[in-house]
Amino acid sequence: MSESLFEFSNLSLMYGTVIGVNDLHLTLPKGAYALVGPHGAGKSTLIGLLTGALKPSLGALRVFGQDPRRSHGVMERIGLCPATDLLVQGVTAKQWIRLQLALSGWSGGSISQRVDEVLERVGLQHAGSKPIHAFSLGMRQRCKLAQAIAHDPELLILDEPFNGLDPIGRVQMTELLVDWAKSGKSLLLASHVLHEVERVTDSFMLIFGGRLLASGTAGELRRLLADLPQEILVETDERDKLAELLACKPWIRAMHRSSRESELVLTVDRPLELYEALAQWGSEGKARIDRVVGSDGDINTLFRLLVSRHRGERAYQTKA
Amino acid sequence: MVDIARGFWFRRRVSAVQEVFRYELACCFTLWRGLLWLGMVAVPLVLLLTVAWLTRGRITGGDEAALVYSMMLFYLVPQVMTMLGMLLLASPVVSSEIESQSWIYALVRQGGRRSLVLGKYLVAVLWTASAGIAVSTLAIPFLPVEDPVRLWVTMVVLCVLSSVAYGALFMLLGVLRQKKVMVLAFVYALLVEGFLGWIPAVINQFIFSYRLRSILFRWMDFRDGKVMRDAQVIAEDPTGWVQIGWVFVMSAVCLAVALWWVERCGVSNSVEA
Repeated sequence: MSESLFEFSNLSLMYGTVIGVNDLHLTLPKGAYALVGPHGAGKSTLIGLLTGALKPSLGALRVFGQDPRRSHGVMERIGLCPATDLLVQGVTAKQWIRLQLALSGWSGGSISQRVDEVLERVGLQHAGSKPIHAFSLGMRQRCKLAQAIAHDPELLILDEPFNGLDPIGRVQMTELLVDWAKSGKSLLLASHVLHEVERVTDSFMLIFGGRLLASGTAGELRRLLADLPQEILVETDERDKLAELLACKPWIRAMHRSSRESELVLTVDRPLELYEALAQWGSEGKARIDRVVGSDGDINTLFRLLVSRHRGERAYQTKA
Repeated sequence: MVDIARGFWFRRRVSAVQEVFRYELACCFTLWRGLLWLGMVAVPLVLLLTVAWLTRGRITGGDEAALVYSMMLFYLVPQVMTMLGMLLLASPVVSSEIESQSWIYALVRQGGRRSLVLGKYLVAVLWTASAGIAVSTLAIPFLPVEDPVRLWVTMVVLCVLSSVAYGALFMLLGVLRQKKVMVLAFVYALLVEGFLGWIPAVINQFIFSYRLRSILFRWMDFRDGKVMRDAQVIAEDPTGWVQIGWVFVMSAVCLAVALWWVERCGVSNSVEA
């Protein structure tokens, strides 16, 4: 049986009365994953738990089959690039990465060679002898990444790695992470920006309020999207006629007239069946449909929808 | 096999401490740290030389002069200056890392926190002891004492011992508490080392200033030593070596507790970081 990457069993963490992570129960094989959620969703807390920096209030977790707070070996297999900015004063990138390598257990002449290698890999080979406090935010981000990959970990955990990067920096960071994932090593990439992580991996974990809202590939999540109630706006000159046709359909949860005369707003349980029915009525001449504004089917929409459902709202509000 | 693994682990940890030492030492060679070191040397030096100049010819008798200038040197250098140095270098051992948001990197490395604390401790001892030795070396030739070599040797030993001791103590305070740790260290130095150390009770035997003072009185062989011993404000020790042993044992205990605690204190620190 192959070693799993993460195992969460009823994992919870409380900061006093505030929930950081709420009852996570999941096992993931090795691979590249994106942990997506808005600010304060619990991403950094989960990363703190994974790296042994935080202790669970309830439940347990394992990384590579071991408890990160107890195992002596597991931390050497993890590279962490935290979200917090690096504010060290008066030390060069080379000195700082050298220190991090030594703290990871590296010693001897191999350190200097490795420092040069990782600085080149993150594109800081010409800035290695400059003090970190003189770096731009993007350079500091790359410096943080360099220390995370320096000890050649099997799992790279990054918390908001795109923060502060300019467009070129973002592309370079994306390329580096894509290469990392392609090399067969594991990756956990936490971000609140969906389109950035979509380029790196196809496996997502959506987190909000410390809860895992959904997980799976983009395809799986899109199928999930199709099965969730959504609000869809239909523009037609024959609004009453269309309403009459829709009223008897079991997948229509609610409908109401918009302020504009030609618009009908529908809350639909199974949007795919609506789209099929509209196409059929259109072709048969039963109702003329001018425009349908629904969810655009992307991960962003799914996330908003899941959050909306998690908050107990009736249906996801389409941004028409 | 286990022994080999342990030996390998030990070598790696020693190497990590060496690297932290090198890194922290490099940080000491900045303009700000350089000026601080010079200031720490200059202030007691100027004070000692000024007092020596103002009292020239007034203090007569070898024993009296030795007592006055030795006590002045002792309080200014192995006591106040060393504690001040450790207040600046040792007590913010964790808080400075949290401030620069770099604590998390030690937190996620096995044994990283211990290596960091030990490396910083060694640099703090070297930095402070070197300042103390510099003051003693520069001041003693200008002090009107009969046996300056004896005073210099005593002061050098006391500077090293006080740096080892207060370094460990202030490291422990810095590990136990990260917020307002310098205030806490200052209050501790004032109340415990400055006040409690003079109270003739069992408690003063666990205070560094009592042990260091005992070494000074023994090695300088002051006439007033008997009175002090009878008043229980210095220890009864014919050679002073027992006191040195006490200083090392107490320092080792402080350091061991700090190293044990620092591995536990990761949770709250990471949240703050």
